[in-house]
Amino acid sequence: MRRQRTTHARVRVFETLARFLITAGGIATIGAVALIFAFLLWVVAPLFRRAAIVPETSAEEPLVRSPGDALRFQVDDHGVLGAVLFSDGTLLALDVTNGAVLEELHPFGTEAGEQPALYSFSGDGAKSVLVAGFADGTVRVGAIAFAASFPPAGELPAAIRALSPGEHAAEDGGVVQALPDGRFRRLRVQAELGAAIVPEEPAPILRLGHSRRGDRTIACAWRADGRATLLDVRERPDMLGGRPALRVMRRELPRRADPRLGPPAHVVVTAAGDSVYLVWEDGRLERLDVRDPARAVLAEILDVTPAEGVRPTAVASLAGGATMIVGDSAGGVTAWFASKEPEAGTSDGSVLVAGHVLAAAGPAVTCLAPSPRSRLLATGHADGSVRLYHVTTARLLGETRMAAGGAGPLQIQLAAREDAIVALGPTGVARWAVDPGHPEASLAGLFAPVWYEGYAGPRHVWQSEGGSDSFEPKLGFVPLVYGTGKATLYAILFGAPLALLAAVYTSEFLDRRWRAPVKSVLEMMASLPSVVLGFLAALVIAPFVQSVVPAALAVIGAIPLSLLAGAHLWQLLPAPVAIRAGGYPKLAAMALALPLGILGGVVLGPALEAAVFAGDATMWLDGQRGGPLGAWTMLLFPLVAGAVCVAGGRLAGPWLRQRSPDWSGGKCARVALLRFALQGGASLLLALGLAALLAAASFDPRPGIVGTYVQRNALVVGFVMGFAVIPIVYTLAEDALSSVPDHLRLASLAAGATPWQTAIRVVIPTAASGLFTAVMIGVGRAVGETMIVLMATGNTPIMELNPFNGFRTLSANIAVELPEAVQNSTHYRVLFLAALVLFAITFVLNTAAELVRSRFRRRASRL
Amino acid sequence: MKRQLLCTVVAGALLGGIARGQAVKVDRALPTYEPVPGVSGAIKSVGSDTMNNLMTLWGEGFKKAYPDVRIEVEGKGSSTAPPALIAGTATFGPMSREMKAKEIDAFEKAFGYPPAQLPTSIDMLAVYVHKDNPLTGLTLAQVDAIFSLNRKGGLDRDIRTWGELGLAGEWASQPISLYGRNSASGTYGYFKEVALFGGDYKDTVKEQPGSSSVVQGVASDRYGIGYSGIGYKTAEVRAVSLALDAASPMIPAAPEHAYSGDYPLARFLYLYVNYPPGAALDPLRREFLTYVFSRPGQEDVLKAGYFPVTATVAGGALRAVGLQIRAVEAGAPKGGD
Repeated sequence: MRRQRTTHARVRVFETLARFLITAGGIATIGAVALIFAFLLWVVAPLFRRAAIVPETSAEEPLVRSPGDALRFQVDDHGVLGAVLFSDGTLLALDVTNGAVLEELHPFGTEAGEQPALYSFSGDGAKSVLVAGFADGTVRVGAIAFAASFPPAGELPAAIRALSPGEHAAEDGGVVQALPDGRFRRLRVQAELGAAIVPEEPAPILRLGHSRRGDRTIACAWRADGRATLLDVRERPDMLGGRPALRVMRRELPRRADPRLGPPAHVVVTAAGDSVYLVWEDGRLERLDVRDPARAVLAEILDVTPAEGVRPTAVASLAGGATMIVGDSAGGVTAWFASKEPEAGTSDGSVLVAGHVLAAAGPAVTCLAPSPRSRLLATGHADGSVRLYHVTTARLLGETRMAAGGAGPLQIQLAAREDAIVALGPTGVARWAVDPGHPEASLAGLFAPVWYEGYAGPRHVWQSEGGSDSFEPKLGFVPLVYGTGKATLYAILFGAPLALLAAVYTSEFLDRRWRAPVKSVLEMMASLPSVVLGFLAALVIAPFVQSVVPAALAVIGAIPLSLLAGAHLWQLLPAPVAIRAGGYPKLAAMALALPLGILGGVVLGPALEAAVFAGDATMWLDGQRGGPLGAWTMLLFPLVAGAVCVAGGRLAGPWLRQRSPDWSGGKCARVALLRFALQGGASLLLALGLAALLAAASFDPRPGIVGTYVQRNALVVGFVMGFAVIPIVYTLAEDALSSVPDHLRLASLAAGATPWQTAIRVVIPTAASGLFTAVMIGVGRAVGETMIVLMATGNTPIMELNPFNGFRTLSANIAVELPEAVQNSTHYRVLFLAALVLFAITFVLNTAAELVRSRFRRRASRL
Repeated sequence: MKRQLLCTVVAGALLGGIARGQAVKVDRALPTYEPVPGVSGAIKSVGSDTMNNLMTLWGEGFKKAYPDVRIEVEGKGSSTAPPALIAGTATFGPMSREMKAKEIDAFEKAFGYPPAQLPTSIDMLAVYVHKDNPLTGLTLAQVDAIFSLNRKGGLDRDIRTWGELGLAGEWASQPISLYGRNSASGTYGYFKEVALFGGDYKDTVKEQPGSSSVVQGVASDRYGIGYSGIGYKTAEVRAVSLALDAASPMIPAAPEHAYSGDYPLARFLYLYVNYPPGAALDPLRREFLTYVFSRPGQEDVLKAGYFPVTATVAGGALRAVGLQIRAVEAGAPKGGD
């Protein structure tokens, strides 16, 4: 039969098809990865978009009254309806887009003039709470609210029904807005006032400050007689719809030493109700510690203005009521908050600090408007400019101007949704549409230490969410990156040596018949779900290790020592016995060294605890007892022992090699054992000496290198994550070693080298880049590991080297927080940024590993 | 806080149902539940982990009346409820805290109206220690100094060891090991607001993904302390008594104190519903809510380890979604609304 020389058509078709499919698959894989990257970028990019302030409307409609008398200006959540409270007690509802007055209300009486003169008031944006003080000394707590209702379209006039979605029109003293779903929202200004709180002293109230938390209002009233009262008002809402009952606690603050100062210009009460700030016209600030209102004390006196002659012109309390913003006549805008400093000697162990300087100089500040929902702040200036700041990161986000040239805004408001700024000027109202972007997420805010309110100084902190809007988000990325690094380090420290040594053993020493099954079994380990490993670590290993800390530490040291000692003892066997027992008996002996090491550790544990940890490991680690000598010795011993081994090999090696050819095998073994023992002893002495030096220099590893023992810690997680890393490192390392061509091994053995010398001197150097790749891929695996970390660490965003406490990794953080993050919010995008960082780290690691690996492959194929 | 005061009001509104020391019973004024025809579909609840068991019990009870209804409960934390309600993936959003203004904003941006908030039951957030721990009680300021980094509760000194809380012997020098919830949880937010006075958690608080893993953590860590809903209490842990301040008495986490408002960490557990004001609820959601606020529904609350609301609160909650308590006529409870 003639041999067919042409390829069969069917084979050709299949070949083309296969080539096409494989190419398409490859391109699709690259495309998919690129798409993921592009998607991550697309979600993250808006984080760094600039804020936008766009002028919308500006009305030159003069108000019926002199706007200079306006005490308070407020806008509803949607930035459409405004309310202006005048010093005679009149409240005007106006449409802020055209300045039209919609309604005139008299919340303090039926007609203007009939009511007691309104002397002072204070309000905060969040709940639009207002506290009013009167000439007769009474105080009333109330609210200016914007009531929303949804009237059926049928009840509305035709002109309003004709509005297109988003538009609004005046109707019945308020405004009606058309909503996108075809329904209508009616907004009206509503003033509610609680019962009058009758004073003990009927002196007129000159200044008021207050803070509100839940339904508790704490107000500080400065009276004309130069005294101040602290009022603690709790409302008990009546579920039957009646007026809330008030429970008032009243405390006179101590009489001031210097009555010549006159009344303060501003009174601020912190939300916690623990401090009252009194600010005078010249910048003098007195902080009263009123944690116990019955025993109020003057905590400190300072100057909130930068220089002589500069006056504080506007003072406001930031959302959350813990930060006070001071704007001054020199254009400075500064954020002040109390910072714990027990050494300062103040009555409450805190000092007021200027945590953020938003602006140092410029046109005088006329008004301030903190956002009720976040750390945004709008400022109005005498030259008519309006600025938007983010306080936590101290950044100017944008600037705009009042249309009417020159005059500065008198009152300014940032709508609660942060989508509009409304300013009340001498001649009318102006409104800007605002998009603040994601101000918390500047590069400095994410990666540099930030001074958060109430902290002792700038710090890296990750605490992204709180239970309320007053919470200051803390988006410091560094603790998460640090945690990822720490997790990876401990996982690799534990996993990589084991995996590499196992690979060397199986490829160089193990009987060929056993190689494949061993490899498969190790690879099976990879199929163990990491959630199971995490569960084991959290519920079994961590509590167990906690109960045996000293023994566990002793075991870590005892196992390598027992294996080394075992090897030296094996050498003592007579040569014929050693050769005969070279197979399974030797393996059994090696296997015996492991439990013996563990047993040794357990036996030595209490001794170690007594010698190194002053009798109690957890308390020693917590820094409560004992000195650092033993611990330094323990920490330094492995390093010193390594150095001594190398030095011993260099110094004593050649000398021994010269003499040993004449010695018998037994003598060689005895000398080696002696050398091992001598080197061990020398290392111990040297480590002790170094430790004594360090201890004498009063260096203590606590807290720092080691510290308080926590049940869920890096050691346990490293141990368990090591298990997850071992299979992949082992497989790749084994592949690298077995791809070293056999003729190199045979040549080495033929030249008289032992299998050990062949492995160390020939095979490993040849496969080095492959082994490196294996470790790199292992690092990549550890960086991305989520479930083990999530379950077995406490997810504590700590930045400490201490192997005995936990950490929070980027990946676990994403898993924990993504379900709660509102889509497209700052938090959501920052979590995607974490994903992007993670992607970048693993991409770089894997690419580097792959490059090294391909080089190794080329080199190996040439051998 | 409003929540505490509301609880106080609940006590006042009770019609002699619950007195101090008595076992908690469901308010007699609540009607039994009578199934109505025409209810089918699927219910998906996304939100609070604290309310997981509770939602499941309600689901099971509801399924007994309507076997064709499919019910799915997902509880990863209260903060997952608003995004799910906005995306329309959840029928109900159970939350163990009130919605934040920002979350309501996001909802309003999508729908034009705020979500309806229904207080369904009462929980006592308990502070747990290991069962061997001799600690009896804590003031809120002490709780704050244990858990908080910036101590807004007013204590001058940080509390790090059990000795600083007055424990002697082997406990005195042992560091306190802290367990808490992850930030998606409403419990995390509520505890932060009330027990930490709005301060920040220490970064050494071990964040656990669920209420039961907090309890589990404390049970396996002799020197641990953690907080979780009372419904997750086990024999391995002990709930310590709490006091509002140093001058107030220590109040144990017992039901009678939840209603009296004396226990400082009593709170409502809410269901949030996407309800356009003035509209009529679809039969599925209408019947589910009617079930929740019926006698069997509130008995499920007891089964889950929480405390039922009174008929007054139930009536208020139902009114928020345009429903009312169905009249109970002796022997012949009426359906329909």
